[in-house]
Amino acid sequence: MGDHGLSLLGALADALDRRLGWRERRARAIADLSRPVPPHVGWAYTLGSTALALLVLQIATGIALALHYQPTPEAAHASVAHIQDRVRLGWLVRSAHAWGAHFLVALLLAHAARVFLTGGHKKPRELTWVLGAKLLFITLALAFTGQLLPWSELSYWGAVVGLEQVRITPAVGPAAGDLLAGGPGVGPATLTRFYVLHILLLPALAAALLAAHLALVRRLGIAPLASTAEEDAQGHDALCAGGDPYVPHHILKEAAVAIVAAAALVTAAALWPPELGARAGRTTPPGIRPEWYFLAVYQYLKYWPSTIFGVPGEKFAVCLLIAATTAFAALPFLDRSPERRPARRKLALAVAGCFLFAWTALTLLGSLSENELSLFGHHWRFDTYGRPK
Amino acid sequence: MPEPFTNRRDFLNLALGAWAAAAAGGVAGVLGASALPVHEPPQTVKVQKSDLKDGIALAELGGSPVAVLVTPAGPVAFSLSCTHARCTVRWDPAARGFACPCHGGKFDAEGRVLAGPPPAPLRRLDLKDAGDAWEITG
Repeated sequence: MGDHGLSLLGALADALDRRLGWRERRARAIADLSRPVPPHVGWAYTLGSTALALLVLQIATGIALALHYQPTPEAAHASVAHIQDRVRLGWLVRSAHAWGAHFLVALLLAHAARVFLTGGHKKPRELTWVLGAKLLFITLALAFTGQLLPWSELSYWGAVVGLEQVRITPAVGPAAGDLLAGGPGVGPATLTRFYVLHILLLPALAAALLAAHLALVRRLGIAPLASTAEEDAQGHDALCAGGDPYVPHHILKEAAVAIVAAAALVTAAALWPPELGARAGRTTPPGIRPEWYFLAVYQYLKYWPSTIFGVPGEKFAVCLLIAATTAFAALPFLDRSPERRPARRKLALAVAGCFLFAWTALTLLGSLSENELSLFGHHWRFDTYGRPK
Repeated sequence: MPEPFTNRRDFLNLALGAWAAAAAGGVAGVLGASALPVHEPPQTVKVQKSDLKDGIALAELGGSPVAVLVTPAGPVAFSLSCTHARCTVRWDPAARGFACPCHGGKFDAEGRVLAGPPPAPLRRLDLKDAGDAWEITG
Protein backbone atom coordinates (compact mmCIF):
# COMPACT_ATOMS: atom_id res chain seq x y z
CA MET A 1 0.00 0.00 0.00
CA GLY A 2 1.42 3.43 -0.93
CA ASP A 3 1.43 6.67 1.05
CA HIS A 4 -1.85 7.63 -0.51
CA GLY A 5 -3.54 4.47 0.72
CA LEU A 6 -2.06 4.90 4.20
CA SER A 7 -3.23 8.47 4.46
CA LEU A 8 -6.70 7.36 3.35
CA LEU A 9 -6.73 4.77 6.15
CA GLY A 10 -5.48 7.41 8.59
CA ALA A 11 -8.23 9.78 7.50
CA LEU A 12 -10.81 7.02 8.01
CA ALA A 13 -9.40 6.26 11.48
CA ASP A 14 -9.50 10.01 12.33
CA ALA A 15 -13.08 10.28 11.12
CA LEU A 16 -14.16 7.28 13.19
CA ASP A 17 -12.25 8.60 16.22
CA ARG A 18 -14.10 11.92 16.05
CA ARG A 19 -17.39 10.01 16.08
CA LEU A 20 -16.58 7.10 18.44
CA GLY A 21 -13.63 8.37 20.49
CA TRP A 22 -12.00 4.95 20.10
CA ARG A 23 -8.38 6.14 20.58
CA GLU A 24 -9.04 7.38 24.08
CA ARG A 25 -11.07 4.27 24.93
CA ARG A 26 -8.28 2.04 23.66
CA ALA A 27 -5.64 3.93 25.65
CA ARG A 28 -7.77 3.67 28.78
CA ALA A 29 -8.38 -0.06 28.24
CA ILE A 30 -4.67 -0.76 27.71
CA ALA A 31 -3.76 1.26 30.82
CA ASP A 32 -6.35 -0.69 32.80
CA LEU A 33 -5.19 -4.05 31.43
CA SER A 34 -1.54 -3.18 32.09
CA ARG A 35 -2.02 -3.18 35.86
CA PRO A 36 0.16 -5.86 37.46
CA VAL A 37 -1.17 -9.27 38.46
CA PRO A 38 -0.09 -10.70 41.86
CA PRO A 39 3.56 -11.87 41.80
CA HIS A 40 2.74 -15.58 42.22
CA VAL A 41 0.53 -15.67 39.11
CA GLY A 42 2.05 -17.92 36.46
CA TRP A 43 1.25 -20.63 33.93
CA ALA A 44 -1.41 -22.27 36.11
CA TYR A 45 -3.47 -19.09 35.73
CA THR A 46 -4.02 -19.53 31.99
CA LEU A 47 -6.69 -22.25 32.07
CA GLY A 48 -9.75 -19.97 32.16
CA SER A 49 -8.67 -17.90 29.19
CA THR A 50 -7.70 -21.08 27.31
CA ALA A 51 -11.22 -22.39 27.91
CA LEU A 52 -12.54 -19.07 26.56
CA ALA A 53 -10.43 -19.45 23.40
CA LEU A 54 -11.71 -23.00 22.86
CA LEU A 55 -15.28 -21.81 23.47
CA VAL A 56 -14.87 -19.37 20.56
CA LEU A 57 -13.59 -22.26 18.43
CA GLN A 58 -16.57 -24.35 19.59
CA ILE A 59 -19.00 -21.62 18.48
CA ALA A 60 -17.28 -21.39 15.09
CA THR A 61 -17.36 -25.16 14.44
CA GLY A 62 -20.92 -25.30 15.80
CA ILE A 63 -22.09 -22.70 13.28
CA ALA A 64 -20.35 -24.61 10.47
CA LEU A 65 -22.12 -27.83 11.52
CA ALA A 66 -25.51 -26.09 11.84
CA LEU A 67 -25.31 -25.15 8.13
CA HIS A 68 -25.73 -28.84 7.20
CA TYR A 69 -27.46 -30.41 10.22
CA GLN A 70 -31.21 -31.25 10.09
CA PRO A 71 -32.91 -31.57 13.50
CA THR A 72 -35.55 -34.26 12.89
CA PRO A 73 -35.36 -37.95 13.89
CA GLU A 74 -35.78 -38.94 10.23
CA ALA A 75 -33.02 -36.71 8.86
CA ALA A 76 -30.60 -36.05 11.77
CA HIS A 77 -28.45 -39.17 11.52
CA ALA A 78 -28.23 -38.99 7.72
CA SER A 79 -27.33 -35.28 7.83
CA VAL A 80 -24.45 -35.95 10.24
CA ALA A 81 -23.30 -38.81 8.00
CA HIS A 82 -23.48 -36.32 5.13
CA ILE A 83 -21.28 -33.89 7.10
CA GLN A 84 -18.78 -36.69 7.77
CA ASP A 85 -18.65 -38.18 4.29
CA ARG A 86 -19.62 -35.52 1.75
CA VAL A 87 -19.07 -32.01 3.13
CA ARG A 88 -15.53 -30.76 2.41
CA LEU A 89 -13.52 -31.15 5.64
CA GLY A 90 -16.84 -31.80 7.36
CA TRP A 91 -15.32 -34.77 9.22
CA LEU A 92 -12.68 -32.47 10.69
CA VAL A 93 -15.18 -29.80 11.73
CA ARG A 94 -17.42 -32.39 13.42
CA SER A 95 -14.44 -34.07 15.06
CA ALA A 96 -13.11 -30.74 16.34
CA HIS A 97 -16.55 -29.88 17.76
CA ALA A 98 -16.81 -33.26 19.54
CA TRP A 99 -13.25 -33.09 20.85
CA GLY A 100 -13.82 -29.45 21.82
CA ALA A 101 -16.47 -30.59 24.32
CA HIS A 102 -13.95 -32.95 25.99
CA PHE A 103 -11.25 -30.26 26.07
CA LEU A 104 -13.63 -27.60 27.37
CA VAL A 105 -14.97 -29.75 30.23
CA ALA A 106 -11.42 -30.84 31.17
CA LEU A 107 -10.12 -27.25 31.09
CA LEU A 108 -13.01 -25.93 33.18
CA LEU A 109 -12.51 -28.68 35.79
CA ALA A 110 -8.79 -27.89 35.91
CA HIS A 111 -9.53 -24.15 36.11
CA ALA A 112 -11.94 -24.72 39.03
CA ALA A 113 -9.36 -26.92 40.77
CA ARG A 114 -6.67 -24.24 40.37
CA VAL A 115 -8.99 -21.52 41.71
CA PHE A 116 -9.93 -23.70 44.70
CA LEU A 117 -6.30 -24.66 45.45
CA THR A 118 -5.16 -21.03 45.49
CA GLY A 119 -8.21 -19.75 47.38
CA GLY A 120 -9.42 -17.61 44.50
CA HIS A 121 -13.06 -18.31 45.38
CA LYS A 122 -12.85 -16.49 48.70
CA LYS A 123 -14.05 -13.03 49.62
CA PRO A 124 -14.56 -10.74 47.73
CA ARG A 125 -14.70 -13.08 44.68
CA GLU A 126 -17.57 -15.33 45.80
CA LEU A 127 -19.86 -14.23 42.98
CA THR A 128 -17.13 -14.88 40.38
CA TRP A 129 -16.97 -18.49 41.63
CA VAL A 130 -20.76 -18.92 41.64
CA LEU A 131 -20.96 -17.66 38.04
CA GLY A 132 -18.05 -19.91 37.06
CA ALA A 133 -19.76 -22.96 38.61
CA LYS A 134 -22.92 -22.15 36.66
CA LEU A 135 -20.85 -21.86 33.48
CA LEU A 136 -19.44 -25.34 34.17
CA PHE A 137 -22.97 -26.73 34.62
CA ILE A 138 -24.10 -25.03 31.38
CA THR A 139 -21.10 -26.53 29.58
CA LEU A 140 -22.13 -30.00 30.82
CA ALA A 141 -25.73 -29.29 29.71
CA LEU A 142 -24.39 -28.24 26.29
CA ALA A 143 -22.43 -31.50 26.09
CA PHE A 144 -25.51 -33.51 27.09
CA THR A 145 -27.90 -31.79 24.66
CA GLY A 146 -25.32 -31.84 21.85
CA GLN A 147 -24.81 -35.56 22.23
CA LEU A 148 -28.42 -36.34 21.27
CA LEU A 149 -28.26 -34.39 18.01
CA PRO A 150 -26.66 -37.12 15.80
CA TRP A 151 -29.58 -39.42 16.81
CA SER A 152 -27.24 -42.40 16.99
CA GLU A 153 -27.80 -45.37 19.30
CA LEU A 154 -25.39 -44.05 21.91
CA SER A 155 -26.72 -40.51 21.79
CA TYR A 156 -30.37 -41.59 21.91
CA TRP A 157 -30.04 -43.97 24.86
CA GLY A 158 -27.75 -41.52 26.65
CA ALA A 159 -30.57 -38.96 26.49
CA VAL A 160 -33.17 -41.55 27.63
CA VAL A 161 -31.16 -42.51 30.71
CA GLY A 162 -30.08 -38.93 31.46
CA LEU A 163 -33.65 -37.59 31.27
CA GLU A 164 -34.80 -40.37 33.61
CA GLN A 165 -32.37 -39.03 36.24
CA VAL A 166 -34.00 -35.62 35.81
CA ARG A 167 -37.47 -37.13 36.17
CA ILE A 168 -36.63 -38.94 39.40
CA THR A 169 -35.72 -35.66 41.15
CA PRO A 170 -38.31 -35.17 43.90
CA ALA A 171 -40.99 -32.46 43.41
CA VAL A 172 -39.85 -30.71 40.21
CA GLY A 173 -38.42 -33.79 38.41
CA PRO A 174 -41.42 -35.07 36.42
CA ALA A 175 -42.42 -31.59 35.21
CA ALA A 176 -38.81 -30.66 34.36
CA GLY A 177 -38.36 -33.95 32.49
CA ASP A 178 -41.57 -33.40 30.49
CA LEU A 179 -40.54 -29.82 29.71
CA LEU A 180 -37.08 -30.89 28.53
CA ALA A 181 -38.25 -33.93 26.56
CA GLY A 182 -41.47 -32.40 25.23
CA GLY A 183 -43.36 -35.57 26.20
CA PRO A 184 -43.10 -38.77 28.21
CA GLY A 185 -40.30 -40.35 26.14
CA VAL A 186 -37.44 -39.25 23.90
CA GLY A 187 -38.96 -38.45 20.52
CA PRO A 188 -39.12 -35.79 17.78
CA ALA A 189 -40.12 -33.10 20.32
CA THR A 190 -37.05 -33.96 22.40
CA LEU A 191 -34.71 -33.51 19.46
CA THR A 192 -36.23 -30.09 18.64
CA ARG A 193 -35.99 -29.00 22.28
CA PHE A 194 -32.41 -30.20 22.72
CA TYR A 195 -31.48 -28.46 19.45
CA VAL A 196 -32.99 -25.16 20.63
CA LEU A 197 -31.26 -25.53 24.00
CA HIS A 198 -27.96 -26.45 22.38
CA ILE A 199 -27.72 -23.71 19.76
CA LEU A 200 -29.84 -20.92 21.27
CA LEU A 201 -30.86 -20.89 24.94
CA LEU A 202 -27.77 -22.37 26.62
CA PRO A 203 -25.24 -20.38 24.52
CA ALA A 204 -27.17 -17.14 25.19
CA LEU A 205 -27.27 -17.90 28.91
CA ALA A 206 -23.57 -18.83 28.88
CA ALA A 207 -22.68 -15.60 27.05
CA ALA A 208 -24.50 -13.48 29.66
CA LEU A 209 -22.93 -15.34 32.62
CA LEU A 210 -19.50 -15.28 30.97
CA ALA A 211 -19.70 -11.51 30.43
CA ALA A 212 -20.51 -11.06 34.14
CA HIS A 213 -17.76 -13.54 35.16
CA LEU A 214 -15.12 -11.68 33.11
CA ALA A 215 -16.33 -8.25 34.25
CA LEU A 216 -15.91 -9.41 37.86
CA VAL A 217 -12.43 -10.80 37.15
CA ARG A 218 -11.44 -7.41 35.72
CA ARG A 219 -13.10 -5.43 38.50
CA LEU A 220 -11.71 -7.46 41.44
CA GLY A 221 -8.42 -8.54 39.87
CA ILE A 222 -6.79 -11.96 40.26
CA ALA A 223 -6.76 -13.11 43.89
CA PRO A 224 -3.44 -12.74 45.73
CA LEU A 225 -2.14 -15.59 47.88
CA ALA A 226 -2.43 -13.38 50.96
CA SER A 227 -5.39 -14.03 53.27
CA THR A 228 -8.67 -12.23 52.76
CA ALA A 229 -7.94 -10.23 55.93
CA GLU A 230 -4.59 -9.05 54.52
CA GLU A 231 -6.24 -8.14 51.22
CA ASP A 232 -8.89 -6.16 53.12
CA ALA A 233 -6.26 -4.35 55.13
CA GLN A 234 -3.69 -3.61 52.42
CA GLY A 235 -5.82 -3.44 49.31
CA HIS A 236 -5.44 -5.49 46.13
CA ASP A 237 -3.06 -3.06 44.38
CA ALA A 238 -0.49 -3.21 47.22
CA LEU A 239 -0.44 -7.03 47.06
CA CYS A 240 0.22 -6.91 43.29
CA ALA A 241 3.42 -4.86 43.73
CA GLY A 242 6.28 -6.60 41.95
CA GLY A 243 3.97 -8.65 39.73
CA ASP A 244 4.05 -8.73 35.93
CA PRO A 245 1.68 -6.41 34.08
CA TYR A 246 -1.31 -8.36 32.69
CA VAL A 247 -0.70 -6.80 29.25
CA PRO A 248 1.68 -7.74 27.73
CA HIS A 249 3.31 -10.28 30.09
CA HIS A 250 0.55 -12.53 31.41
CA ILE A 251 -1.67 -12.29 28.36
CA LEU A 252 1.21 -13.67 26.29
CA LYS A 253 1.35 -16.73 28.56
CA GLU A 254 -2.42 -17.12 28.11
CA ALA A 255 -2.07 -16.84 24.36
CA ALA A 256 0.76 -19.41 24.30
CA VAL A 257 -1.25 -21.98 26.30
CA ALA A 258 -4.38 -21.31 24.22
CA ILE A 259 -2.42 -21.90 21.01
CA VAL A 260 -0.94 -25.16 22.36
CA ALA A 261 -4.41 -26.30 23.48
CA ALA A 262 -5.93 -25.44 20.10
CA ALA A 263 -3.10 -27.31 18.35
CA ALA A 264 -3.66 -30.35 20.59
CA LEU A 265 -7.40 -30.17 19.85
CA VAL A 266 -6.89 -30.06 16.08
CA THR A 267 -4.34 -32.90 16.30
CA ALA A 268 -6.72 -35.09 18.30
CA ALA A 269 -9.58 -34.18 15.96
CA ALA A 270 -7.56 -35.09 12.87
CA LEU A 271 -6.14 -38.35 14.28
CA TRP A 272 -9.14 -39.73 16.13
CA PRO A 273 -12.44 -38.54 14.63
CA PRO A 274 -15.41 -39.88 16.61
CA GLU A 275 -17.50 -42.62 15.06
CA LEU A 276 -21.07 -41.77 14.20
CA GLY A 277 -22.43 -45.21 15.08
CA ALA A 278 -25.70 -46.79 14.02
CA ARG A 279 -28.94 -44.81 13.85
CA ALA A 280 -31.01 -44.97 17.04
CA GLY A 281 -33.46 -47.86 17.17
CA ARG A 282 -35.93 -49.19 19.69
CA THR A 283 -33.55 -51.73 21.21
CA THR A 284 -30.94 -50.61 23.68
CA PRO A 285 -27.46 -51.73 22.62
CA PRO A 286 -25.50 -53.55 25.36
CA GLY A 287 -22.64 -51.83 27.16
CA ILE A 288 -23.69 -48.23 26.60
CA ARG A 289 -22.06 -45.78 28.96
CA PRO A 290 -21.88 -41.99 29.16
CA GLU A 291 -18.92 -39.73 28.36
CA TRP A 292 -16.06 -39.73 30.90
CA TYR A 293 -17.32 -36.62 32.71
CA PHE A 294 -20.65 -38.33 33.55
CA LEU A 295 -19.14 -41.78 34.30
CA ALA A 296 -18.74 -41.15 38.05
CA VAL A 297 -22.40 -40.14 38.42
CA TYR A 298 -23.51 -43.08 36.23
CA GLN A 299 -21.59 -45.53 38.41
CA TYR A 300 -22.56 -43.85 41.71
CA LEU A 301 -26.27 -44.32 40.91
CA LYS A 302 -25.79 -48.10 40.55
CA TYR A 303 -24.83 -48.70 44.19
CA TRP A 304 -28.12 -47.49 45.62
CA PRO A 305 -30.73 -50.12 46.56
CA SER A 306 -33.82 -50.13 44.35
CA THR A 307 -36.00 -48.99 47.26
CA ILE A 308 -35.34 -47.46 50.68
CA PHE A 309 -38.40 -47.50 52.97
CA GLY A 310 -40.55 -48.03 49.89
CA VAL A 311 -39.12 -44.99 48.09
CA PRO A 312 -36.91 -45.56 44.98
CA GLY A 313 -33.30 -45.45 46.19
CA GLU A 314 -32.35 -43.23 43.26
CA LYS A 315 -34.49 -40.44 44.70
CA PHE A 316 -32.09 -40.32 47.66
CA ALA A 317 -29.12 -40.64 45.32
CA VAL A 318 -30.29 -37.74 43.15
CA CYS A 319 -31.03 -35.59 46.23
CA LEU A 320 -27.48 -36.19 47.51
CA LEU A 321 -26.13 -35.33 44.06
CA ILE A 322 -28.10 -32.08 43.97
CA ALA A 323 -26.83 -31.25 47.47
CA ALA A 324 -23.25 -31.90 46.33
CA THR A 325 -23.52 -29.75 43.19
CA THR A 326 -25.20 -26.99 45.20
CA ALA A 327 -22.37 -27.18 47.74
CA PHE A 328 -19.87 -26.92 44.86
CA ALA A 329 -21.58 -23.79 43.50
CA ALA A 330 -21.87 -22.31 47.01
CA LEU A 331 -18.31 -23.28 48.00
CA PRO A 332 -17.18 -19.73 48.95
CA PHE A 333 -19.95 -19.62 51.55
CA LEU A 334 -18.96 -23.00 53.05
CA ASP A 335 -15.15 -22.75 52.88
CA ARG A 336 -14.96 -19.54 54.93
CA SER A 337 -11.50 -19.45 56.49
CA PRO A 338 -9.59 -16.28 55.53
CA GLU A 339 -6.51 -18.27 54.42
CA ARG A 340 -5.68 -18.73 50.75
CA ARG A 341 -2.28 -20.46 50.92
CA PRO A 342 -2.83 -24.22 50.43
CA ALA A 343 -0.47 -25.07 53.31
CA ARG A 344 -2.77 -23.28 55.75
CA ARG A 345 -6.00 -24.93 54.53
CA LYS A 346 -5.33 -28.56 55.39
CA LEU A 347 -8.95 -29.43 56.28
CA ALA A 348 -10.42 -27.89 53.11
CA LEU A 349 -7.81 -29.63 50.96
CA ALA A 350 -8.38 -32.95 52.75
CA VAL A 351 -12.15 -32.77 52.12
CA ALA A 352 -11.56 -31.82 48.47
CA GLY A 353 -9.02 -34.66 48.20
CA CYS A 354 -11.64 -37.16 49.42
CA PHE A 355 -14.10 -35.92 46.79
CA LEU A 356 -11.45 -36.13 44.07
CA PHE A 357 -10.56 -39.68 45.16
CA ALA A 358 -14.22 -40.78 45.17
CA TRP A 359 -14.84 -39.15 41.78
CA THR A 360 -11.75 -40.77 40.24
CA ALA A 361 -12.56 -44.18 41.73
CA LEU A 362 -16.18 -44.04 40.50
CA THR A 363 -15.00 -42.93 37.05
CA LEU A 364 -12.61 -45.91 36.87
CA LEU A 365 -15.27 -48.35 38.13
CA GLY A 366 -17.73 -46.87 35.63
CA SER A 367 -15.36 -47.42 32.73
CA LEU A 368 -14.59 -50.99 33.88
CA SER A 369 -18.20 -52.03 34.57
CA GLU A 370 -19.60 -54.54 32.06
CA ASN A 371 -16.25 -54.33 30.32
CA GLU A 372 -13.10 -56.41 29.85
CA LEU A 373 -9.50 -55.59 30.59
CA SER A 374 -6.26 -57.33 29.64
CA LEU A 375 -3.23 -56.36 31.73
CA PHE A 376 0.10 -58.15 32.33
CA GLY A 377 -1.15 -61.31 30.64
CA HIS A 378 -4.28 -61.48 32.80
CA HIS A 379 -7.77 -61.07 31.45
CA TRP A 380 -10.57 -59.73 33.62
CA ARG A 381 -14.27 -59.25 33.07
CA PHE A 382 -16.16 -56.87 35.31
CA ASP A 383 -19.79 -56.90 36.43
CA THR A 384 -22.12 -53.92 36.49
CA TYR A 385 -20.66 -52.75 39.83
CA GLY A 386 -17.10 -52.86 38.50
CA ARG A 387 -16.19 -56.05 40.43
CA PRO A 388 -14.10 -58.68 38.61
CA LYS A 389 -16.30 -61.64 37.66
CA MET B 1 -37.74 5.23 52.73
CA PRO B 2 -40.10 8.00 51.56
CA GLU B 3 -43.84 7.50 51.78
CA PRO B 4 -45.27 6.31 48.47
CA PHE B 5 -47.61 8.50 46.44
CA THR B 6 -46.44 11.76 48.03
CA ASN B 7 -45.82 13.15 44.59
CA ARG B 8 -46.67 12.40 41.02
CA ARG B 9 -43.15 11.29 40.04
CA ASP B 10 -43.03 8.52 42.70
CA PHE B 11 -46.51 7.38 41.78
CA LEU B 12 -45.73 7.24 38.06
CA ASN B 13 -42.43 5.40 38.69
CA LEU B 14 -44.23 2.85 40.82
CA ALA B 15 -47.05 2.49 38.28
CA LEU B 16 -44.53 2.06 35.45
CA GLY B 17 -42.59 -0.54 37.44
CA ALA B 18 -45.78 -2.47 38.28
CA TRP B 19 -46.88 -2.34 34.66
CA ALA B 20 -43.48 -3.61 33.45
CA ALA B 21 -43.52 -6.44 36.01
CA ALA B 22 -47.07 -7.45 35.04
CA ALA B 23 -46.20 -7.35 31.33
CA ALA B 24 -43.05 -9.44 31.88
CA GLY B 25 -45.05 -11.90 34.00
CA GLY B 26 -47.73 -12.16 31.31
CA VAL B 27 -45.20 -12.77 28.55
CA ALA B 28 -43.39 -15.37 30.70
CA GLY B 29 -46.73 -17.05 31.47
CA VAL B 30 -47.75 -17.30 27.81
CA LEU B 31 -44.30 -18.57 26.74
CA GLY B 32 -44.16 -20.99 29.67
CA ALA B 33 -47.60 -22.42 28.88
CA SER B 34 -46.69 -22.84 25.22
CA ALA B 35 -43.51 -24.69 26.19
CA LEU B 36 -45.41 -27.42 28.06
CA PRO B 37 -45.67 -30.68 26.13
CA VAL B 38 -49.03 -31.77 24.74
CA HIS B 39 -50.02 -35.14 26.21
CA GLU B 40 -51.33 -37.64 23.69
CA PRO B 41 -54.40 -39.75 24.57
CA PRO B 42 -53.83 -43.52 25.04
CA GLN B 43 -53.02 -45.25 21.77
CA THR B 44 -53.78 -48.72 20.46
CA VAL B 45 -51.68 -51.07 18.36
CA LYS B 46 -52.57 -54.42 16.80
CA VAL B 47 -50.09 -57.29 17.24
CA GLN B 48 -50.60 -60.22 14.89
CA LYS B 49 -50.60 -63.58 16.63
CA SER B 50 -48.54 -64.91 13.69
CA ASP B 51 -45.71 -62.57 14.89
CA LEU B 52 -45.15 -64.77 17.94
CA LYS B 53 -41.58 -66.07 18.23
CA ASP B 54 -40.30 -67.96 21.29
CA GLY B 55 -43.66 -67.17 22.94
CA ILE B 56 -43.26 -63.39 22.55
CA ALA B 57 -44.35 -60.81 19.93
CA LEU B 58 -42.74 -57.36 19.78
CA ALA B 59 -44.41 -54.12 18.68
CA GLU B 60 -44.23 -50.35 19.08
CA LEU B 61 -46.86 -48.25 20.83
CA GLY B 62 -46.63 -44.46 20.68
CA GLY B 63 -42.94 -44.72 19.89
CA SER B 64 -42.16 -47.06 22.78
CA PRO B 65 -41.38 -50.79 22.59
CA VAL B 66 -44.08 -53.18 23.87
CA ALA B 67 -44.55 -56.96 23.81
CA VAL B 68 -47.18 -59.64 24.15
CA LEU B 69 -45.90 -62.61 26.14
CA VAL B 70 -47.79 -65.87 26.14
CA THR B 71 -47.70 -67.32 29.65
CA PRO B 72 -49.41 -70.45 31.03
CA ALA B 73 -52.11 -68.12 32.39
CA GLY B 74 -52.67 -66.57 28.98
CA PRO B 75 -51.26 -63.65 26.94
CA VAL B 76 -49.95 -60.57 28.83
CA ALA B 77 -48.92 -57.22 27.34
CA PHE B 78 -45.93 -55.32 28.78
CA SER B 79 -44.18 -52.05 28.14
CA LEU B 80 -40.56 -53.01 27.50
CA SER B 81 -39.23 -49.73 28.95
CA CYS B 82 -37.28 -50.58 32.10
CA THR B 83 -38.88 -48.87 35.10
CA HIS B 84 -35.43 -47.73 36.21
CA ALA B 85 -34.00 -45.61 33.39
CA ARG B 86 -36.27 -46.43 30.39
CA CYS B 87 -33.78 -48.60 28.51
CA THR B 88 -35.46 -51.36 26.47
CA VAL B 89 -35.44 -54.70 28.31
CA ARG B 90 -34.85 -57.93 26.32
CA TRP B 91 -36.69 -61.22 26.62
CA ASP B 92 -34.39 -64.08 27.53
CA PRO B 93 -36.23 -67.27 26.44
CA ALA B 94 -33.80 -69.54 28.30
CA ALA B 95 -34.19 -67.74 31.62
CA ARG B 96 -37.87 -66.96 30.91
CA GLY B 97 -37.36 -63.38 32.08
CA PHE B 98 -36.54 -59.85 30.95
CA ALA B 99 -33.04 -58.32 31.34
CA CYS B 100 -32.06 -54.66 31.02
CA PRO B 101 -28.76 -53.96 29.19
CA CYS B 102 -28.12 -50.61 30.92
CA HIS B 103 -27.87 -51.21 34.66
CA GLY B 104 -28.44 -54.96 35.04
CA GLY B 105 -32.14 -54.93 36.03
CA LYS B 106 -33.91 -58.32 35.79
CA PHE B 107 -37.65 -59.12 35.67
CA ASP B 108 -39.52 -62.43 35.64
CA ALA B 109 -42.19 -63.43 33.11
CA GLU B 110 -44.81 -61.69 35.25
CA GLY B 111 -42.81 -58.44 35.04
CA ARG B 112 -41.79 -58.57 38.72
CA VAL B 113 -38.35 -57.24 39.69
CA LEU B 114 -35.83 -60.03 40.37
CA ALA B 115 -32.58 -58.07 40.58
CA GLY B 116 -30.94 -54.70 40.01
CA PRO B 117 -32.09 -51.14 40.51
CA PRO B 118 -35.62 -51.07 38.96
CA PRO B 119 -38.00 -49.66 41.59
CA ALA B 120 -41.21 -51.13 40.10
CA PRO B 121 -42.41 -54.05 37.95
CA LEU B 122 -42.68 -53.69 34.19
CA ARG B 123 -45.80 -51.73 33.25
CA ARG B 124 -48.68 -53.94 32.13
CA LEU B 125 -50.83 -52.75 29.24
CA ASP B 126 -54.48 -53.45 28.43
CA LEU B 127 -54.84 -56.38 26.04
CA LYS B 128 -57.90 -57.41 24.04
CA ASP B 129 -58.25 -60.52 21.87
CA ALA B 130 -59.27 -59.53 18.32
CA GLY B 131 -59.30 -62.85 16.49
CA ASP B 132 -55.99 -63.30 14.72
CA ALA B 133 -54.44 -60.35 16.56
CA TRP B 134 -54.24 -58.71 19.98
CA GLU B 135 -55.09 -55.07 20.58
CA ILE B 136 -52.78 -53.35 23.09
CA THR B 137 -53.77 -50.02 24.62
CA GLY B 138 -51.62 -47.81 26.85
